[in-house]
Amino acid sequence: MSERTRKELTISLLGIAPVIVILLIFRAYPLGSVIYNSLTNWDGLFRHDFIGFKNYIKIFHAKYFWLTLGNCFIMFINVPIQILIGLVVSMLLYEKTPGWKFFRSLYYLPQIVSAVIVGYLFAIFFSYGGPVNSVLRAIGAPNLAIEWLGNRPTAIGVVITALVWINIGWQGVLMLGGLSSINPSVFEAAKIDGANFLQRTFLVMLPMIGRVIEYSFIYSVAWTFTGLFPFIYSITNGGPGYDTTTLDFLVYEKAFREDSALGQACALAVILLIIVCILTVIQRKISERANDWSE
Amino acid sequence: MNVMQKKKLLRLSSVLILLTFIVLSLSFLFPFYYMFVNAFKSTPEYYKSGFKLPEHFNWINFATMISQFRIQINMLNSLFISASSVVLTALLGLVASYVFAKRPFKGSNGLYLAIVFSMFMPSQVTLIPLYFLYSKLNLINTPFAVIICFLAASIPSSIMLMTAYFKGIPNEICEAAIIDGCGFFGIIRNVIYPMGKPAIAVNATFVFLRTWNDFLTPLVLLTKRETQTVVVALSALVSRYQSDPPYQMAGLTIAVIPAIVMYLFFQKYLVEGVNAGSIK
Repeated sequence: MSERTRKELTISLLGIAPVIVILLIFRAYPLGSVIYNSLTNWDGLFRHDFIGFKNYIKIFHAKYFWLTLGNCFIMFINVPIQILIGLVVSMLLYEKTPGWKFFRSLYYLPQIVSAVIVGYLFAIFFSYGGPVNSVLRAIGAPNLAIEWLGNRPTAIGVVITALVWINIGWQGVLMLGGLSSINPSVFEAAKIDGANFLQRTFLVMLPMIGRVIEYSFIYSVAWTFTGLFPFIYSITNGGPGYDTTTLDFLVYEKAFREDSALGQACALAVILLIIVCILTVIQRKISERANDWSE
Repeated sequence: MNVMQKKKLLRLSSVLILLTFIVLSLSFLFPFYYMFVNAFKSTPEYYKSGFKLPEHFNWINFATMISQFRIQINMLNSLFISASSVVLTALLGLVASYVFAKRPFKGSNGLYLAIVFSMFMPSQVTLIPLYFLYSKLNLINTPFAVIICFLAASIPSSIMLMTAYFKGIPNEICEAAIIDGCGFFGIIRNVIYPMGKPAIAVNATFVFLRTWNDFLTPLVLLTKRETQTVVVALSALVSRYQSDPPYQMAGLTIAVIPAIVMYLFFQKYLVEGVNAGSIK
């Protein structure tokens, strides 16, 4: 290696060194620490002994863990719903009727508002004295005006509604990007060949944006595992009991609300991480396969 | 079908689409409308007529928010934390992305993938050890603690976005700059920065909104009211004033306005940036 290229390499390395150092301290170190501490009885104060997989065994025997995991899976319902509505919205936007850009920006609006604020808005809307119940009473259905956040099925329903509401715009914009990348002549050709609207949708459009739908699906599933914390915190606070607690909320609950359960909290964090890693690997596999197609 | 009929059908479908759009718009606008108008009401007026416009715009909820709750301090905290995160992410990301895009070396691709992969680590996982690390170093309740967490969380996606964009800058321009005597930072300042501005702007907008709206990290690391960001301080307020919805609404309105202003200026970048992850 010549003097010159060595000097060039040194400059390059110095250029990325700060990023590497920051990621080592604030990503790699915590990762190692969480994995190690998940194998201890750490309570944040005195105890900090190695106990093997006892935390995991305890967690797998705990009722609340399976209830929480079950809640995560129920929350998945939000993914197909938001993709379906997003897809319809994108197809309507694709027609480029007058004002479509305005509507696109409007539907994206919830995305730029903090999830906690959206959560509180939903909590106020569905509170017992809130606007939803007053509408129900006004239209003569006072029996339907219930304590929405007080029992599991309706509370989960409210959370799912919030998740769908906040993401429709994002899905719509994402899918519209997919639609716009299709050459319009493809649709023209299908039209000339006599394909009707439904045939064009299901046989031409959907297969061509399948990649975007797959991306969105995996991304949204991973998000359902890691991004629900602010919604649960503001809408139901995990309750009643553990009835609406999700895995990411549980990690916070165990680590920062119940003292003395840090080892367990770390074990829960590791479980969460493993789930997210599996989803990420699937996502990469899919996008690699997609790249093969396009070439 | 003759041309006239076809035209009529087309116009009919546009009208139907427009109607659908308007109905859908109501569902997006109504919660914001409700929040905004009720922020100006007294509690009795809210319970009497929550859906109507206020009889007169009463600023008292906002005045109390400032005089007693001192929300302006939290506002400044948020602004400082988000602005610092944006500037630091942009600076470090700009330099690193230039290296990855234009000066690849043996192993740089692997390093790039490792950085991007760290994007998927949820903050729930890293926060537990970091909280205890910070408390040992006496950094709990300092903006620094949150800023550096935001930096670590934002830099992978920033590098991904900027590297992809910088790769599109022609090599010839960089080479010409070298012949003109530009060094490492000279090229960044004279070529990469001016030509990569769109990517830098998209990224800065994303990072600002993400850090302004983030909840978990500042919630855990900032426990004293006067150090908290506006979103965290607000969550304390909202849960304390359950019986006073107009006051809650005023707080929510205050926290939403900066994000909406930001959106009005940069919405073009944001809406187009969404597809960066899926199409490229």
